[in-house]
Amino acid sequence: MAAHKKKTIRGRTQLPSNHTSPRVLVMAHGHPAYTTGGAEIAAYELYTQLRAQHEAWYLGCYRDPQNSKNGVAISQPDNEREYLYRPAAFDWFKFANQDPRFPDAFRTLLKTLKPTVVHLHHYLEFGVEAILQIRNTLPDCRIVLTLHEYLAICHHYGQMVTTKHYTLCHEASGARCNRCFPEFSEQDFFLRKNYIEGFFELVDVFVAPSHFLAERYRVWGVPPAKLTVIENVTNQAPASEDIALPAERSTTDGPLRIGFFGQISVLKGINVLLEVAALFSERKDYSVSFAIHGDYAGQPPNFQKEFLERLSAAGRNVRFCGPYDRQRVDLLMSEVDVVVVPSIWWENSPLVIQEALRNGRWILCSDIGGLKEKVTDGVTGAHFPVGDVICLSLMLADMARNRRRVRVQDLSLDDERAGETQSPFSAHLALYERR
Amino acid sequence: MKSASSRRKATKSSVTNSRSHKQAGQGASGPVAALFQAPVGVGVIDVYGYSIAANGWFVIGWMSRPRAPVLPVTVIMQLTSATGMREYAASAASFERPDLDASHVGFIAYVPTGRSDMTGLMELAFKIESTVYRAAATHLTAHVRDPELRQQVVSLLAGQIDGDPNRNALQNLLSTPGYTGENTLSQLSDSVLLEIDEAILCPPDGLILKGWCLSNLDPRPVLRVRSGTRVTELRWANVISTPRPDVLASVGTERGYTQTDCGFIAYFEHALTIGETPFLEVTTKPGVSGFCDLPPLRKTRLDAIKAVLEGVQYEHRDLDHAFDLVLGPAVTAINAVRLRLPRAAEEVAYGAVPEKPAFSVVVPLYGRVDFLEYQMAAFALDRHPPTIDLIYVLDDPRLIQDTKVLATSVYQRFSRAFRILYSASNMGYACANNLGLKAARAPLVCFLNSDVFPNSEQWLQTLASTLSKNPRFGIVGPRLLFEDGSIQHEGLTYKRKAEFKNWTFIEHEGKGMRPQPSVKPKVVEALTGACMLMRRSLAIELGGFDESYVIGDFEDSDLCLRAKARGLQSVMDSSVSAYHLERQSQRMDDSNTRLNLTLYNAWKHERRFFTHLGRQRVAK
Repeated sequence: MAAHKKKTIRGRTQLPSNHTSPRVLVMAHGHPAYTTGGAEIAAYELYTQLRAQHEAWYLGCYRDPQNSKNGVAISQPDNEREYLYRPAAFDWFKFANQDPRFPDAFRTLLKTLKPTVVHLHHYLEFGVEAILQIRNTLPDCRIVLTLHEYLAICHHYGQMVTTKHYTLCHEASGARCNRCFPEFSEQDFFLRKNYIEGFFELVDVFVAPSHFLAERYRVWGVPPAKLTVIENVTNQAPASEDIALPAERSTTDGPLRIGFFGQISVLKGINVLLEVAALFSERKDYSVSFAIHGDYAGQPPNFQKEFLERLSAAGRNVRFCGPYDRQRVDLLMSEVDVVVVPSIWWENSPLVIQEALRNGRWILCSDIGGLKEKVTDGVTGAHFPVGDVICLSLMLADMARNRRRVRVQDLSLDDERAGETQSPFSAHLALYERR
Repeated sequence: MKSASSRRKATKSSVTNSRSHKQAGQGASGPVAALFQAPVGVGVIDVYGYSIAANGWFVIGWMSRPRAPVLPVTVIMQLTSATGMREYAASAASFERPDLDASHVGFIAYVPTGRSDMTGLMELAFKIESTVYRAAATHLTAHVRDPELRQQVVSLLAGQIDGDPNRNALQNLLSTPGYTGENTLSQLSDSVLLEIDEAILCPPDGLILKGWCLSNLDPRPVLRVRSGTRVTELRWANVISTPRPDVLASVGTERGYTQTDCGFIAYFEHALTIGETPFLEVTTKPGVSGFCDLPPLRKTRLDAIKAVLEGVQYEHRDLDHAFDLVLGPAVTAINAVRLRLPRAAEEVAYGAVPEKPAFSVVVPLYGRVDFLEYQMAAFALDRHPPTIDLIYVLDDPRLIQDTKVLATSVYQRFSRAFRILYSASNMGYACANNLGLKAARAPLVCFLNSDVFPNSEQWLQTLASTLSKNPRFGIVGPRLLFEDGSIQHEGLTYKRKAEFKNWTFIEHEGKGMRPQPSVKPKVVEALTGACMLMRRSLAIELGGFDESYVIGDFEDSDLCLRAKARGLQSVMDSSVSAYHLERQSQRMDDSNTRLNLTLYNAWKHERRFFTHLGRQRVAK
């Protein structure tokens, strides 16, 4: 039987000839060479694809512990297209950059490159004031801001879960925020919002990678006319025709293989997963196996200790595989049947979902926020009630018995629409030209 | 007393005396020259010393017998000592001494002067009926102190002086035992229980005493503050009586006292002599006194003001009496010193100050310097900014370093020029604003609080335009809102409060309510200093804000009412709005003291603007 062809989507990547090519500066608060957050990966990918055909540059950040190149704010450690800012003093409450070296260095860079578009993925480290600096230095420049997480809305790392019990928060308000952070008064939150909004008014377009996130920001106060939804640009790996889909394997072929990919943290739902695994182990039910791929090194010491304890107490159905290289994710995903994303926060557009979709893996995720939006129940995966260990374990047991349930719907039926679906990259390009 | 050898010395000293007298006479001033003409009587000073009880010096010795049998009651004496020669009105008496011949007689003189005035006494001289008598000190002259002096004098007066009217007077001087630093109240036969809890200096020489006094005497005991030669009597009608249930519970009832209001706070305007330790004399009946020391005068400035005002709830008491007679003048005196302190402030400019600014905006900073960031962002994001001469006054020396660091980054980030005046000490709201006013250059000045954030486009321009609409408009302010959009201020009004003796207090009309659609500018009684715009010339003419209010309160109303006195109105323009994130200012440990400080300011404000002459209490 022929392996089901992996669908690739092609879109417009050529600009109409009567447009001048945009000169785009992409900014992110990280750099994939140093950090592995979703935002900088997406930003860098966008820049890479842009550079292929247009004038494009990348300005990233790196909190260099050695503080090399002492005194220089922005440098070029790798090549002429890429710049690196070494942040110094950042106020995380209102996203103000208090480093006195940055504004001049930044303005000089802008005047040198003269971009027609500056696309910010995050204002962290640069500070929201960077938007004003761009506007003042290049009055005609188009300022695009991609929103990752709910940072402007929520001081709890932009996750919109409460600080006390990680319960979901639906809307910010002075009183609610003060309950999560008693050290900041309602007036402080008012000032914070005012500060951020003042600079947001200078932004031309806000890009939201999910409808869910866009709606949250609209409620918060971003004018709907300025909001647009475009998925994050990802590296389109070449289609591999050798990937065998789970549907092809017989139901008696070993346990149902569940894979977790991503940062090992409370908010990513690792504890939910481990509890589910424990349920199976207690019943000596080995019809499901769990492979955990990810890194816990960035977590607080308490959490790390707890995680390792749980691992050592875990049954034979759990295997901790450690951190993984992004390049290997396709291969790793081919070794699992189902990708589980049990996050207990809203998420936006997790990279792991993009990767799982690309690899035709069934996705089991919490029924909230961006997760619910990106995975179509019954088509590309299934939803389970967030944090519900019993329900998830029942679903997994059921899937183990009925392997048909984990077969990704044949998307070739959608091929007719393929031509109309714009790739995220071309959608971004269209954005740069629009006035 | 001295033996025959003194007599011999008398002759010798007379030679010395005449020599020294001639020397003195040659270059001397009037009185000595006059003495030079007269025949000279000679004598010797045996003993002298300062009597604390008598508040003066006693000089005992002998000299040639005056022709008059009895010395006059008061004699003008010249005393020459290490500090120079001075004249005093002294009392003197003579007495017989068995060791002297008939032509000589003993004398005792009392000179009322301060302790430090006669160290190293050298000579005493006086004139009776054109005869000059002088007694000189010799190497045997003893300078003695209490109680030895007292013993000598008392025994002298008791034993040897008889029939001399001055004897009684001198004896009376010593009738009360001297104050030796010990509390002698318990030795009084009529019981008086008294304690001074606190003594506070009211510069330059005034005093507040806080304490309590229990006695069943009628009339009440007389209390006097003594300091050097100054004696000031406490007027019971002018003190504040305060309840002291703790005193009554501990010592009062067991001794049969029932006065609940036995506490008192008394003010003495001029009671102290610099350099002299003050003490309290308690007289139960004429001639019967005890002494009591006072706690050291340690507190100054704001600590002293708080000490004066703390501990009593005045809102239920006669405020007029309390403030007019005691608390008001005391706090004013203490505060006056603070106002004379030099105002050192370092000016740092970030960016170039505009040459011809349209507006000077003065913003005092205290505590929260991150407000600087929030405000500067607002100024930087203003789409139609006028040329502003922006002046921040940091009134918080603890934060100088942090602010300097922040200001540098703020200027880099927002590229808007501003100046900061870094005050070396915490001066208070009025002083900070006045300092900024002095540095201002534009024709219009806007006083702005650091927690005010404009919410209207072209807010300054609109306010300025309103100001210019009518020559009678003196000060303009916007509508101020809380962060939830309800009204924080739309003009100040006045209300008399019955619980505070009908004194006038300031209210914000409509505070907390949703704002109504804006109407044209309206004249109000006064405006809040949180945001007020006026011509700089007017601000200067008015002398800026009155700095003698303590810790902010009423200064803005004061300014507006003084403008009103010149025929200039305060106007609220509701078409311009700003957020005022009013927060609790100055958290004090004691909310009662905070209230009393407000009452002091209210008293000042009330007396200046709302009290008609004659209604104010005056000290009896």
